[in-house]
Amino acid sequence: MSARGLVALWALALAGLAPAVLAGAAAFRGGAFEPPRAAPDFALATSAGGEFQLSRARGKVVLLTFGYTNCPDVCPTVLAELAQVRSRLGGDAGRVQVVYVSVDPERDTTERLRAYVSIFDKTFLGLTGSTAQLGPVWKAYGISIARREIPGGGPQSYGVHHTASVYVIDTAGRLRVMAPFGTPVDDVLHDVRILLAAAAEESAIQLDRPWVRRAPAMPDSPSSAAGYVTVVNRGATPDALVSATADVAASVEIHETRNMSGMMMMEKVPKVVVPPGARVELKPGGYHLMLIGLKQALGPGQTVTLTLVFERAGAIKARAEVR
Amino acid sequence: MTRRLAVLVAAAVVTLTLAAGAWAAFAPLATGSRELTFVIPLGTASRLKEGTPLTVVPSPIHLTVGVRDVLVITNDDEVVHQVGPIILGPRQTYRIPFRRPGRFQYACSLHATGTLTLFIDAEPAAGLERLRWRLDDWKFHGRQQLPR
Repeated sequence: MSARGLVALWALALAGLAPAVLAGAAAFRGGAFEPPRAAPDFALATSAGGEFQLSRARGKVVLLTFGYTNCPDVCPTVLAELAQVRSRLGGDAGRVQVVYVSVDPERDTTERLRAYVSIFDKTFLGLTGSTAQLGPVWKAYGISIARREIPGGGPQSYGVHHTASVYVIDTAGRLRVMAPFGTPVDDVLHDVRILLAAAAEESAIQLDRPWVRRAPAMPDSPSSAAGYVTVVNRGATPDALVSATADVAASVEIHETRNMSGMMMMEKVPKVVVPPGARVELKPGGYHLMLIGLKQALGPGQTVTLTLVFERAGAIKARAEVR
Repeated sequence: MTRRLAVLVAAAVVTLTLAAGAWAAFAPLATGSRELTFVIPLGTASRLKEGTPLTVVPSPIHLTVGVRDVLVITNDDEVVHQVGPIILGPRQTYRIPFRRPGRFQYACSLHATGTLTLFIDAEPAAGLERLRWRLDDWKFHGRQQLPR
């Protein structure tokens, strides 16, 4: 095939690929915010006792919705659907927190909210406060509220028209999706699963106690230093350290020290596999990082930025102390 | 001679128009989702501040399942804007696909009626309905400025 034909073929393949890539980026079925921004933070009294602060719920997917305990139709529908989302998540249900914020501070006490939300799911949190406390939260999430008196009823007889969207906040506290009332349970579940999977992926690999051995500056040629770290895989799939870089070195290689009947051998290895749930230590006398071509002498107390690249988790930075 | 030519041309025009009309009415609509994009242009906040009258967001907005069922609202302004319950930071986009016919209502201060209504219409049937859909689509090009 001619060079021009190959280029055309390549362009066609790219064009074919583009919709797939775009579809991947816009995989949410609820309304998604791009780029995602931090969800407005708040702290309110909860039906479980104590206070709930949104920014302290990091690590969980938060499903936030608004309503009131006298709500006859809309709120029970939303809460029953969110209970379904949790039950269908099975083992992952514990990683999701449903939060129901009152739009009726006059009648909704924490006790009332406790009785109300627990008929749907014991883990749901009902939040309330004074109008002064709740007002900024309603405003930040664009909740509109209109009180409607019920004709012929008593002084406490009124309904509250309110926005009944479900806000989906990811494990890093970012507002990702706003699903309007009426979004099918399947779609909310779908979006929650995407966020849980992404969170599992992001946090699967953890780097523990990174450090680098001190090294002098050599007068004739650049010297090397060894780097160590413990790699923990908290995910369910194996991963592998495949390469690394350091801000103070020209290159970094992964090496293994082996004792061949008393003779210490150092060998370059292509990767270090970290099985699911395992801790693999890069330590003196075993696997280590070889920082080659140091740009400076490394003395105790200095820090080195290491970037470790994993097959699945990608690049992860660590600040290593020089010892 | 010229008269004969005129008749021929007229016949050709009529035939072509009929063919185009038949195509527009009966040809299946392109599958896959398309988007209806509204843009809050740069400077909207300052125009509102100056008191420049701005025609509000169209309401109702019609989307069509399977054809133009994704609503996209982009904030190109430098400040936060709120469209109903959708709060958009500068250069942030809200993208919502609809896959089932239905009606959604949002409280929206930008509207005189106080509500923004979204109709998610079923895919238009072959015939007049599809012809009308194509005409509307051609008129709006699937993209509008917000607020207009």
